Amino acid sequence: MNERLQYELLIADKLEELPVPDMADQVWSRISAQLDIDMPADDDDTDLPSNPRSGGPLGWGLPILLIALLTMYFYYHNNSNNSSINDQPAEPGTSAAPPIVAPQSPSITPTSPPRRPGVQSLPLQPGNGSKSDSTQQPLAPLHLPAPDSAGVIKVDSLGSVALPAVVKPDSLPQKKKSRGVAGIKDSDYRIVPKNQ
Amino acid sequence: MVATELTIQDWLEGSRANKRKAQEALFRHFYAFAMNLAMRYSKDDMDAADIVSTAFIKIFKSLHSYDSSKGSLHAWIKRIVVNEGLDHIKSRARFSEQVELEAISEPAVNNAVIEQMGATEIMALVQKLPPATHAVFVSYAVEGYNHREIAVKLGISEGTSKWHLSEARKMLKELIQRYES
Repeated sequence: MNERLQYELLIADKLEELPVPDMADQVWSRISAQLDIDMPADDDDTDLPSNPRSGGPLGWGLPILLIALLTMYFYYHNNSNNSSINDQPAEPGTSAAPPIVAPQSPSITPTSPPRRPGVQSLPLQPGNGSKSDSTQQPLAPLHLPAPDSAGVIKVDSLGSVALPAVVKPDSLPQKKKSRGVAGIKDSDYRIVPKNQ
Repeated sequence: MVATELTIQDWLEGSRANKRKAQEALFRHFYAFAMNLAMRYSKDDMDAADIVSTAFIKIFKSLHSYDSSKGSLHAWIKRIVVNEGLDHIKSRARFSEQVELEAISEPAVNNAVIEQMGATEIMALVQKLPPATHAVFVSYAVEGYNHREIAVKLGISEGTSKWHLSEARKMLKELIQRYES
């Protein structure tokens, strides 16, 4: 009496293959909405079921640590690059070299230090009234006049001093050198006026 | 993603702890299975979606009562979805208690026609049955329940269940002949 007919077994087999509509998202939104009412979930839902072997307390700590280390590395790497660029004097005529600024006052660097609130960053042009070391000359506009046959440095009417045309870069970062020769004062330098 | 037993177990534990992500993962894993069951008791896709959503809410609420030693999770979910499907039909069906039947008719049906039909076409024919007859036919012919079990599930007598099955077979024969012609 309870035996199924042949065509009923066929129907049962066919219905096993019934295509299912893609309504999972829609159905889940209804389920979760009702569960939020009936069984509110905790906010701490960091257990991702797709990663059952997530490393517990180290699961999130390790990526954060890596990001922090990378950030520190790039920060210090940038700072060290900037200081090495700052230490290299310029060599005009070297097309392959990056643009090199003439030796500047040590207080002026291509990259500004971290700003403090209320502190203005100084413009990176020489001779703008920036702080300068008393042992160094004030920075002058780069006229680059050719030295005369005697190799004497000429001064124009404005009193600006031209820098030597060629500055050889050292392989090692240079330390700050004291200006002039030990024992010789400024007045000892013979300066020939232009008019003569 | 192929879900391993270990993954399903994690989802189960997470669902018991009321973790939404685990519940969602478990739902999506069993969605196709549950939807296929629900469609057999529904008149359209939206009806089936209602059955599935209600069934899964009951599943998550009663997950603490599931005992793996008494049966598989698959079988447990199937029982809940089927019961929900039958409840869904009962809510809109009228079971004629006055009619009882002892001998069920077995009209001849051309099996070759059914073999040529697709699953969607067959489902469309079954959905044309009246709700009560539809419920009994699917429970008996598709799910394999006997009339005693159907009577308990639907709250009817075994005679009424047999009557509805007989009616289902007569109607399906006419529908299949109409389809064939």
